[in-house]
Amino acid sequence: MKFARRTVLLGTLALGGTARMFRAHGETRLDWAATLKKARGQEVFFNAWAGDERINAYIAWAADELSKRHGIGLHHVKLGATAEAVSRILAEKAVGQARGSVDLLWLNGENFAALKGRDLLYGPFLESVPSARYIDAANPTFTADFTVPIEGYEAPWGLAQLVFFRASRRVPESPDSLAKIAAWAAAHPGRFTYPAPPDFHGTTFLKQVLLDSYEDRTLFSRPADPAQFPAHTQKLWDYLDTLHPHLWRQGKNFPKDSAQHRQLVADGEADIYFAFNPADASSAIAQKLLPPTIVPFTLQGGTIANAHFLAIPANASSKEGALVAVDFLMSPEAQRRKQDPRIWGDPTILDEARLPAAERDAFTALPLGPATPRAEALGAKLAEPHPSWVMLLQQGWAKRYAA
Amino acid sequence: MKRWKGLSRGLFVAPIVIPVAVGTVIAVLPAFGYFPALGGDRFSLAPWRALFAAPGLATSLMTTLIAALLASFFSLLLAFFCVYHADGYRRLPILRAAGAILATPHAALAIGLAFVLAPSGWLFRLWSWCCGPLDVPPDWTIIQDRNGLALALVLVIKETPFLILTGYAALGRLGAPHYLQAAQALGYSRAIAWAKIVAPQLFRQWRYPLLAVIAYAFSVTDMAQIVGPNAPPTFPLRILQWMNDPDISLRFTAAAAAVLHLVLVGGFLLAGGVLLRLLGQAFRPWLSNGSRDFPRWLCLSANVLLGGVSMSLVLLAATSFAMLILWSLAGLWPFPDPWPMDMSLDHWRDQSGMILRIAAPAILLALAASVLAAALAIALLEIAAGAGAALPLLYVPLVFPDIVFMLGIAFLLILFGIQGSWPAILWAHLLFVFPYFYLSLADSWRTLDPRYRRSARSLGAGRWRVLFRITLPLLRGPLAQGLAIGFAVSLSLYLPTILAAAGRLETLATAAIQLSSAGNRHVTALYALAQCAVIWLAFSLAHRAGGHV
Repeated sequence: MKFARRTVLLGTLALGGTARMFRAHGETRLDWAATLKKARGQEVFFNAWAGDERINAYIAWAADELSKRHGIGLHHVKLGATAEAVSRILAEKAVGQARGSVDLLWLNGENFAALKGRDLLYGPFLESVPSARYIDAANPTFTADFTVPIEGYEAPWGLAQLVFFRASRRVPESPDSLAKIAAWAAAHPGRFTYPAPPDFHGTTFLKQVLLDSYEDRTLFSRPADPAQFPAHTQKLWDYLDTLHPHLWRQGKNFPKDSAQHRQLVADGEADIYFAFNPADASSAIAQKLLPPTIVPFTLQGGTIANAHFLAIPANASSKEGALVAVDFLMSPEAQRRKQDPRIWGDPTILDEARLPAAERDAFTALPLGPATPRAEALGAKLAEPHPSWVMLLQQGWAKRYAA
Repeated sequence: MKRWKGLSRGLFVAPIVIPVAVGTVIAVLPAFGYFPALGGDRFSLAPWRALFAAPGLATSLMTTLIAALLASFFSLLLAFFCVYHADGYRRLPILRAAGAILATPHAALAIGLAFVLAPSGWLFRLWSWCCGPLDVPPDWTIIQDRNGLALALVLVIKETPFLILTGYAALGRLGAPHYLQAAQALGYSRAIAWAKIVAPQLFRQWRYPLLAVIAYAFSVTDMAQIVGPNAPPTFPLRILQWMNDPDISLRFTAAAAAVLHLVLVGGFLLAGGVLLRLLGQAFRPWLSNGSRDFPRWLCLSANVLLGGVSMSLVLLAATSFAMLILWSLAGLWPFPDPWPMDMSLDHWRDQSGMILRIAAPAILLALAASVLAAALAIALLEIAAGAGAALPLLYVPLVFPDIVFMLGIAFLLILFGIQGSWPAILWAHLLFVFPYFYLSLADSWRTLDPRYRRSARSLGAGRWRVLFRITLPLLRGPLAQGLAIGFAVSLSLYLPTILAAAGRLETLATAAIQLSSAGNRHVTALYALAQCAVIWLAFSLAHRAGGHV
């Protein structure tokens, strides 16, 4: 709890008061009835990563509902990487195309920072969306995305927190700290690894080690100082230097992403993996990608947590339709279905205290899944460092371990 | 006459060459710091400094170079050996095996192969099952090795068949059987007659297919992601990473890297051309010395060695393919089980609706693109006598990293407001299908005995009648093969489909690539098999239509 409070405090300090922040952008509220009316009949092109068929099926369900309820045609534009949509937005901007091909985009962190920093997003719009009343707007997760102030330019859609998973037959006890993981790896050479940065999950592992080596983490809410960077990250590199000789393939090769990492555990080549969705292993077990003997665990002192969001590009062709889609995707009904591990298993952004009693009960009644930690067991949530740390971490890592 | 030819040539190559040229220029500008939408409004060399400062750049380049060189050399060697035997009594098995491997999508073959060879893969499971159980797989680097040897192996398996089929198709029109008969009557053995008479001509016919093979080996990303190293990855994968990085300022680095890639591959192709010419000159005295001696041991050891290698590779490919079938049916399949714990048609049942829904537009698009490419190529050859000086430009889409090049094309499409329309998608596919089609047809067209056409003309047939009644039927084989290859290329295009269609068209290739990022082998195998099925159908149709493909 101490850690959780500190994280909140950290967010507050960094942003100079969350409540004030939330009003500071001076959003003028839209007339929602007029928005609904204008949205009817619009075609909304929702650009979203499409690697998981369960997520695709969920989006297809949402499209059906939006068409039935509001007469909106929601089309899932399937992406292999969010950068594909960013490319299109950039090209359209370069050409001056006012009616863009992207109406709604699923993103977070660095992609958000890049688009917002170049005025490529529409907003602020969050306060106009009726479902936003169910979220705890003061929660630092919703005021800043990787420390970049959100200011109403994206709407939260789901939560994520780094969770570790172990093959319980080979790892009977959870190594629930980074020190224990290093000790376990030394005792079991070749059985631990992590995805190679610049992969998102690999970079997150570096951030986790970095944050874990500091008691006071205010440093990371500010842009990284390249001159001070080597000193600031010395403990991280020391940790990795000790760890690497004991890694899978002696640390000379790495899985390319989280999916390949999980595959290694499924194939018996490694015994521990980690993911951002706490329900990742449950979902994989249901799809027969992992054996049911997988057990989740988190780290003492907490793990990195963040949220993923929905944003509307500045040149979107159907902004009203996109707003109505955002409202629906944030609604208790859609969020509950999303959190259901039999559908997707993505934790809700809604604040249960703000929900009507019946809705709250419906959330509580949801099953957990065979290998998902309870929300209380997730531990403290560490805030993401400022995006500028990412590039330096990736370069530092590549110089040391992949040159 | 000459001016008319130049004019018509311009007309026919314009739809390909202009977008390629403009797209390339747009894609290259950010390499010199110019990309106003990203705040780059003046030229600078900063992207190049960033590129050369990138850690592990030399390693990435080296891995790519080793894999590409090994793959090109061994593909050519094995293809030469196989075409020699395909010319003899082993025609059917060789051509069938080559056709089957050629029709298998690249990524699918790589996934299957990785699962056969990896320490937790099928061979080790088989070993564990019959020779004493392994508790855990050994921690050995077999695939994803730093030198790119595993990548070279997959490339050899995938590229050799393309050379075999194009080489074999060339044999007939080279008049090889007549030469061989004549030479054997003069006391040359078949082997030496082949080496001295057929081989030099065959290598000439192989110029363009070889160019495509080398360009592909240097630019491959899908297979490199599966069997290539990750720390650091191969050079084309680095470009992809920079391009896909959320930090969009890295797109400048990506553009510089793409230019470096283009220059390197171009330079390598030129050097390769010079080398081949020099080799030709070096061998000329031997070719014409009239000697009938051919060291028997060389012949024998080549047969044993290369025959053994070819057969192992075919076996490896077949096993990989069988693994895909097993995975599409498997439930849980943990190490060290040699067979899945349970099998069912569940995955097929869950996915069949989706596959059928996206297969139809993908097939239509591939058909339209390959037929259009054929029409354009025939018109170009018949009316303008080939692409002439514009030829190298036609090959830019094959050599330039498509993620950077397609961005230039996307600019053009957005500029004309046709992004996401059917003509735009079709045209984007044409840019990639046309070069393959053209290279499988152009040489056959040129080496076609002109006397057939001349006789027909002298008998009073008009130009079009000659084209449709004489030329095209005579070129049935290469035409059918070109259509099948064009079809397969179109069916496997990912980025061009995504960018030209603004992501709004789902095809088998886009679904396969997107779903593969979730690491679900069952689903990945299934989509690969669906893609195989469609391409095999196309190849067997081409086989019927072409007679001897």
